[in-house]
Amino acid sequence: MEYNQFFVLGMSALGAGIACIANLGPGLGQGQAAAQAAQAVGRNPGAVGDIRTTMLVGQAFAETSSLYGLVVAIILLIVQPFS
Amino acid sequence: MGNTFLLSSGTEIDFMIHGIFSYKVFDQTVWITTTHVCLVIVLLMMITFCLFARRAMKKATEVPSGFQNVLELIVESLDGIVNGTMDRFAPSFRNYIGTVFIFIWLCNTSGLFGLRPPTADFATTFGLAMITFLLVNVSEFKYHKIKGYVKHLFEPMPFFLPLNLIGKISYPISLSLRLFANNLSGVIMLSMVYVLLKSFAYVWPSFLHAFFDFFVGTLQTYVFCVLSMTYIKNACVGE
Repeated sequence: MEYNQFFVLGMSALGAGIACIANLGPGLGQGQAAAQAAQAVGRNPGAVGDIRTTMLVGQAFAETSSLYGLVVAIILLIVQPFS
Repeated sequence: MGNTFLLSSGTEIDFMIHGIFSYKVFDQTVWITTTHVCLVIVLLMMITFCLFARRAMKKATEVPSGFQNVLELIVESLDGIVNGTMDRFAPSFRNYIGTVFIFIWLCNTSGLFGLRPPTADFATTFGLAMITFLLVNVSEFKYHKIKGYVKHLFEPMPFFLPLNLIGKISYPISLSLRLFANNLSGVIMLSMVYVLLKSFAYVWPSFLHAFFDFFVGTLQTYVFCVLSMTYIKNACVGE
């Protein structure tokens, strides 16, 4: 197969797109956290503040792995280590 | 080959760090970038605020009023965060966590004032994370001496050494990448809105600013501080 700069560029773009599949898991996890928080508020409406803080911090942690995917995608597109 | 290929229409999305001027140190080119400039502006803001705070606290009264109220609120809420997480070890790390909290928060929200947030540069966040990493190791040395430090590396079994080393190295990397990537995603989103929707981006991007700069920035500041405190406390107690 012919191997030139444009082939590498296209493959980098494909790889960046595939790296963004990492957003799948954290999306599910954050939705789950929000659902559980809603249930908790339904059971104990007095603890809304605590539940909200815990939920937000937990979601911020869950977001991390999707952000690693973003970093990989950006490195592939902007820094272009393979071309 | 810049980043123009991101868009076919030729308009360039610009969210990178720019060099302003360079000079030579030992045959190496050192760049002063936009990050440095924004950092200096943020630091000047911090220093001015601190000078005003010092002047207000010199004539402090028993019953606080005006500016003194705000200062006491800030200090008390920061102390509350540190006390809630570190209880017994809080007094020795109160200064560090409070300083880092105010600094990162100002950096994150500086996007509201039209600056490029300095924390959207990996160098800044990695430096901050290295301070935490240093504190973790120093406090482990301090509370467990060399014997305890080496013993923790070989727990629970001797062949776990490489895993423990990787775990130690992953502290600063995960801390810095989390803060960096969150801010960078905000910067990319906003620059995309301003370039691609140039003709009708007038009032509504302010809501995006409120979310990406203010909300996410505050949340990530809190997360950085809580994680730093947890790591340091774990090193002090030693499971």
